[in-house]
Amino acid sequence: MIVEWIWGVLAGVFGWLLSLFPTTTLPAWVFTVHTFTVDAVSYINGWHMWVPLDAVRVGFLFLMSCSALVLLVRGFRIALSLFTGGGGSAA
Amino acid sequence: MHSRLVASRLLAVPVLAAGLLLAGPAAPGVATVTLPPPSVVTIPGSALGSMGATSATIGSAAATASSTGAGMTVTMGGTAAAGGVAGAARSAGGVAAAVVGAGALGWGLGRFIGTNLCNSGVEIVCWPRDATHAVNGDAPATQPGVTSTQSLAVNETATTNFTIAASGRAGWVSVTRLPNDATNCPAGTGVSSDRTGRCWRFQGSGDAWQSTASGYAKLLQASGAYGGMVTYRGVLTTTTGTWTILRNQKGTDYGDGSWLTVLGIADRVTTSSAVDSWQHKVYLESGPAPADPPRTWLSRGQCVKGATVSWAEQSSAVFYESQPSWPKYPDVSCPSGLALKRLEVRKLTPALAVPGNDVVVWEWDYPADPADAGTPDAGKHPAEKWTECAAGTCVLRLWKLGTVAAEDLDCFDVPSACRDWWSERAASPATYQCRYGTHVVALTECYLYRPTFETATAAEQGTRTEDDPAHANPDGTLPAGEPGTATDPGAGDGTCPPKVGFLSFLNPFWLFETLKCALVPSRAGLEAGWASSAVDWCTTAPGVLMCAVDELLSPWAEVGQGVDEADCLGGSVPLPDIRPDRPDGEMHPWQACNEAAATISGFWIPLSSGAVYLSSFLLGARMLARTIGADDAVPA
Repeated sequence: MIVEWIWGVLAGVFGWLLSLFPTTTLPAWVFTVHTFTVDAVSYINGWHMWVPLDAVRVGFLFLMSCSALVLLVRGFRIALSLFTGGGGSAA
Repeated sequence: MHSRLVASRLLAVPVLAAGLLLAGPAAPGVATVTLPPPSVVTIPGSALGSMGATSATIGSAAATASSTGAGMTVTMGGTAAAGGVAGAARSAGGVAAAVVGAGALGWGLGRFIGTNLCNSGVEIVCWPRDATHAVNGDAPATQPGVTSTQSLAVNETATTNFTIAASGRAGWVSVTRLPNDATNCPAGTGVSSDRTGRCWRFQGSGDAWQSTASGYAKLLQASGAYGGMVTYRGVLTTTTGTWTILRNQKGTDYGDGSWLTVLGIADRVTTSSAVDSWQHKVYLESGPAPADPPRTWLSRGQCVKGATVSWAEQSSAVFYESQPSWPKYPDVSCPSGLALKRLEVRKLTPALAVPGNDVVVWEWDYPADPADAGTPDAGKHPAEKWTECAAGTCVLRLWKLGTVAAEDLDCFDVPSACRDWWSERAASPATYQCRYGTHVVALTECYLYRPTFETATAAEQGTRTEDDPAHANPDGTLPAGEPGTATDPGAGDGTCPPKVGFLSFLNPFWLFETLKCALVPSRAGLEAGWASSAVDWCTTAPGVLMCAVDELLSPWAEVGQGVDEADCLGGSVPLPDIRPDRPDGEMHPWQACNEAAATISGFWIPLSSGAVYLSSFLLGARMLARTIGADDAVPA
């Protein structure tokens, strides 16, 4: 109850902040490209007898995760280096 | 162009030589030339002219020739169409005679495509195909009612007509040469000319210019051998009657030997100066549909959000009804943010005639709100009425109005306040309200919540959760076995909470329950909190970019998902249409159904998967190691 109430307050604040921005809609070409991409993915899925699609997907997601982690670590080290009073770049 | 022209003539020479060797001595004024199959023979006009030949035998079919003026028409079998024969009467001089010419290059290529690709290697669905039908490019043994064609020699100016009688299901495109004058190539009659001064005209039976006999009609587009594309609009009729492509040839040294190539039944006719043949096989509309034609399932989903409507489609692999098992209906999913309004599965059988070629075998429509009948929202999906509900964030919830401090209470948050809502609603219907997200809907929509907030029996205690409340039928009737009234919660099978007493606050059970109620949020409560802010993230300026990126990239997360491992055909590539109103087939270049390919695929996939996993792991580990400096070189 308490947490839900806090969540509701935060959501309301967030909603108020967002209401300060102009509203817009996704352009139609986004859906067109999406549909085209879905068709392309469907076509690529037809290669499943010769291309290890599952492995490619998992490998790609793993590499993206590692890249994100690397960025986080580097960002943390850069931020930390601002408070260590020297020592050069930690990037 | 010249080299091909020379090559085609070289091909003709051996045939001619063989024919001449077989020919007997020519009687004065009369010559008989017997030529073996194939049925395409090119005889330079000068040769026949010098022999004064008036007849030729092609294979076993007797051919007669009629010569009027300086032209000659050789008819094989059947009877030449009147229009074509009449056209053959015109000539401006020169001597040319030839019998059916198929063009070695085009015939051979067509034969290769039709035979080899349909039988082995790349999988092509050739439909239909039987002994009486020939795939485009094949030359059947006999051509009933087909008039032979005539080649054109370089600088030849004579006019010869070529016609076909398109009876049955096969025919040959033919060409007619006419003088390039006002009579044959008048302005405004759909005649075009290229830079060499050639004039083309299409003619069908019963119409001097662009006729259509019975049967289907096709547009013909011819390209000039030189100078780019020249379009000739003509009409090809096939099942009955005849049609003729008339090409007026002035005579140059650039491709008099051009021939007409039919790219497709409903497609284009192009010319090239490759060979001396004016004839090409046209694959006409098929006869009766095959008994067990190839079919596919096509699943289509209508996805909506506000005014946006899109269709998601997915096809299954090709299958035959005679197979022991058929592929399952393919799954479709809407793009994120759009809701599914209609789902249908069609059985596509291109070999059948309309409408049997496209049959809906299963369909589902989102049940619209009956309260919208007669309003502008009639039949609409909630995502069409309220765009914020398209992403599935809206939930049907029961509210009690104006209770504590005039606040509305969500019955799912405070079930005790709505315990008797079913019996109270009749007495005071305005007390309760049914909402879909933040939108009020008819109270009848919440009738399925009739028993949801009632106190459970001892048997139900401890088993029912907030996420799995008891439900009634949508009309409010209770299903069989519904729990009855409450009993003493202290009794039962030990799952009931302990009795409430003076010292209950010391009881760990109640302590835990109190803290749990106060601090542990429920999913429904979190959803209600988010919904109360009425935020549609994707319509806000900060969110639209992220939503757009999600829309564009999210399909790539589906790579490799939903793939039917038992489908050895892989993806399909459609073949161009060659018949008027039917798609003509598809090929499966990635198929691994035959033994060799299946074996290779069976070894390759695991090996390549392992390689991908290993290389991904090594790359990722290297990235992380570099970040923490673990791959620094060891000092010497």
